[in-house]
Amino acid sequence: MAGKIVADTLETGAGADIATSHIVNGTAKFWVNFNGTGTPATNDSHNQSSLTDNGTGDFTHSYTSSMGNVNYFSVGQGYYNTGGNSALIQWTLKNATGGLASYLLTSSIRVDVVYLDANQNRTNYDYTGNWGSVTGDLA
Amino acid sequence: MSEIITNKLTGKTAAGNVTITSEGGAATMQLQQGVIKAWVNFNGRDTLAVQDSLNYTSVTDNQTGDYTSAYTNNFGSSNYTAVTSSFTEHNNGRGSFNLCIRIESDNSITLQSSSQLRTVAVYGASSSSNGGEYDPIPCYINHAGDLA
Repeated sequence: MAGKIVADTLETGAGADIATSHIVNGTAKFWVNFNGTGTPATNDSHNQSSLTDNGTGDFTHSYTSSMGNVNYFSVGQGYYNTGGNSALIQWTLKNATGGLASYLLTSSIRVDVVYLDANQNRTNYDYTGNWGSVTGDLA
Repeated sequence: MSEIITNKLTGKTAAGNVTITSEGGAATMQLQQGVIKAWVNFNGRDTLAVQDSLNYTSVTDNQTGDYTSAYTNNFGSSNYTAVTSSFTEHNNGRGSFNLCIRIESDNSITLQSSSQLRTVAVYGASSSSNGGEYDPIPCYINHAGDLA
């Protein structure tokens, strides 16, 4: 065994301290950088066991270590196409028939990647660069 | 209560691997992987000003709503994440507003390297106006990933 330290607080030599519970709570529990085109591929990730392609712009990320509940925080990135059509590309939580309860799970998260046109209409899209992260409590 | 006073945490088996026990106690996870490696809060209006940051060496104002941010300690590759945010102006008829990653007409990312990222602040089109680039006051970016 490499060794284990049990402590409630860490303090720097300069006197700044932080509760170890804050470190455990505050670190990202999942993040991913993946390519959604063709056969989707994860470029780099933390706590991801698999990436599933459900259809155009529709992906499920499964966690290696599950979250303790579904009240966690997730966020994905938006992109702006400078080609003049004002298109925004965004990672969003999937919320189709069945609602979030079907797609936001302790073991996985299902997301849509969509673009918004100038009229704010959305279309699912397989984009090359997709980034997202999750913060919350692990089981 | 116990307290550790130190300036540095280093893994014993592997220097870059310090594990933490999960909130529920069912798992362990690598601390370094979960730590945010860079974040910034900057004012993009008028003379650009960084309000506070971690691991940012500079933010450059390229033109209206167009910024390049550079890191003090570089990432190990360009495969890190970025999450950005700004605000919505609710009283001027503009559509949704955000700080986004700048991409080209062929959907390639304009600039993301281990040392820099280019973003663009935009507002979406609405029934009364076209979308466009804009200098917002609060701009937020944070990054997870592997440092070099």
